[in-house]
Amino acid sequence: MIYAHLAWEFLQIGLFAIGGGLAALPFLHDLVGKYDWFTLAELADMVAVAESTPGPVGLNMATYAGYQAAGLLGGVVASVALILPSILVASLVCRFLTRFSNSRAIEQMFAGLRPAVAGLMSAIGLSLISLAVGAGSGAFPASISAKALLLFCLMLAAVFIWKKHPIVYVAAGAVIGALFRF
Amino acid sequence: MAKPLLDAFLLFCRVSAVAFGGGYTVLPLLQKELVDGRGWLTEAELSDCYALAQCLPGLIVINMAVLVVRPRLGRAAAWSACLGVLLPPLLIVLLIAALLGNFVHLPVVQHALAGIRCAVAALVVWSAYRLIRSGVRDWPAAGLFMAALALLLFDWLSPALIILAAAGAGLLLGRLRERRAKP
Repeated sequence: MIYAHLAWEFLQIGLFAIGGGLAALPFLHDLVGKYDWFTLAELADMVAVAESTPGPVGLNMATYAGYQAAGLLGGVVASVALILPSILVASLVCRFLTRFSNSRAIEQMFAGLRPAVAGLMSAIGLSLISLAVGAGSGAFPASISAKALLLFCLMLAAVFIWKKHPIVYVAAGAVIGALFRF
Repeated sequence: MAKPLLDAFLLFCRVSAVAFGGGYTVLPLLQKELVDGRGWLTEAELSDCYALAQCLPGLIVINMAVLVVRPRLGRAAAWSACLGVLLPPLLIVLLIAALLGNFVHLPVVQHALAGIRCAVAALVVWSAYRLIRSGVRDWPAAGLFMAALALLLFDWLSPALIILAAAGAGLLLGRLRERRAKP
């Protein structure tokens, strides 16, 4: 029953992915090895679509991932499952708002969470670099394409220097990739 | 009865549609609609809500919808606002996913996707860099950062368990620090 699996996995992502934006990415990466719903390359395409379409990135990724795994209904199931835990937790927090917002325990927990989330995102960054420039699928590519490595370095420099909207880089990558036959 | 529900739904439909590539574009619209337009909260209250929404699990926009709407219009309106967040991405992304599925076998699309992957890798590295800059500020944090990176890279622990362990480690470190501060 693929919908039950989808719902279960995306409920977990909704509960544990903290920090918005690409926070769901490490969890989706985990699914690549666990099920045959989508490949690492398809995950990278999902990030591109999610960053280039209107709507919260996490929700876009869940919708796309669910669609890739189980079609239209899969997309609906995954996105609803993703937002349910948020709604419940935020509703709960509403009741205890004043007591919650300046609790020392919460602050200490976040002091631990922030570096860990940075570590998760760095690991995904390494895997995606390996996917973009190499032939392998793990964190360490078997062979490297010089053309792709050059484009990646240029993109990285551009992202750090200009800080434009992600869609600009995705569009530039598409045009360069199509023109120079990557 | 139906009016607040519809208002909340349409408002967050709009908010969701402009949340384009990261939640940062949401704040200006919320300021305009909620602080200037409806007068539901002050600038400072909105910014507190936003900070809290970033800390809670899940999507920032969904958390905002619940935190802002529920105390003012009630539970039903909060659910209606969340449906509003859900709808635009669902329609747009499903359409694109279906279209891309039809063209993905074409060589030109394959080349374009290979180029896009270089851009995506750069964007994720940028996002990781920003998280490192704001979150890794002392040696214990650097240790947690390296541990999380290695655990995920070598597939030793699932992300959910890493998150839970990091929260536990944060609490433990905080307690140790407090104990050391006391004479």
